[in-house]
Amino acid sequence: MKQIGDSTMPPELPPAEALNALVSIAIMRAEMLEDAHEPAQVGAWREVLQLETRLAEITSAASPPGGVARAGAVDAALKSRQFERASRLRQEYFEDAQLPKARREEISSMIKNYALARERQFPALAAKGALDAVLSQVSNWRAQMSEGRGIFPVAA
Amino acid sequence: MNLDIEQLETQHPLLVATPIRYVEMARIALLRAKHASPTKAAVRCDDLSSAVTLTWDTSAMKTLPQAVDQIRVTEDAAEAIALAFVHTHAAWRIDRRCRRGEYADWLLRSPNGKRYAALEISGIADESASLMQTRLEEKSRQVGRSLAAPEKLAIVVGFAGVSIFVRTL
Repeated sequence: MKQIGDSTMPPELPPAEALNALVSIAIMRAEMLEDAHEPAQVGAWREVLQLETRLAEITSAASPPGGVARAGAVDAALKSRQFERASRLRQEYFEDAQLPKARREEISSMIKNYALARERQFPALAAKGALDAVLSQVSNWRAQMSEGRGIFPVAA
Repeated sequence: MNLDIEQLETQHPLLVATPIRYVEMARIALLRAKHASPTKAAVRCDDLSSAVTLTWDTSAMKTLPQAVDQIRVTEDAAEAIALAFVHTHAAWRIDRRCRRGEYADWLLRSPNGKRYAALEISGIADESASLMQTRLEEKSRQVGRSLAAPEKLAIVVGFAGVSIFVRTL
């Protein structure tokens, strides 16, 4: 398998095309890890999220690549377990009048389905209305752990 | 028309960077089906039938590698041939990979950069005409749901006889 940063990476690509190449690689990698049920898929989707949000910044919401990037960013936020980020991105993207109706419906549906799945997974927390707060704490803890430099997680 | 698989990464520079070696997968799938370069491939593009000549570097792979995922080979090789077809036939290029939820594998861009198409691809190792047609219907329905682009394309590649079925939507 080729590696990111190989000497075979095309050096002459302009910024948008370089981002397209990087997001393509990142999606392939994340989907491979997802198929293998690897926990590393969460980090891989986080990388997809970063690239999709950058692509969303440089593309029109009305254009095909702009729609793909915006829906991709929300999807990657959910797959990297960042529900609040996904909700914020939806709000941001929906402020753009150029975003087509079908894309709005798709993004809303992604978030709604994720929220329903989460409520089914944690019914007691959902009933108490504590789901967002607890999962946000867990998500923050995960992010801190993944940013740590040590080999082993630090004991709480 | 000649489809030179070895030109794939020149036709679609983005593929150089991807973790999948598409050209190699095409060589494996064609060798596995006991084809030698050049090989005629039957093309059915919507209602039109034609033929193309597939060429590749046979010296680059003379024996089949043992440890390969056969389904993966078929799918990746189909992508290689389909992508070579869209470029050779219409000079369209890959813009980017689509995530699974887009109901398409690739977003393509026209030569003038003004048109986009969603492309969904599938491969069949041991095809029959009816199996090709059934798969093409499935893939057309799938890409028909895609919001990625207003124009949509489904391509199914069979390797036993080498056939390329294309549907534009």
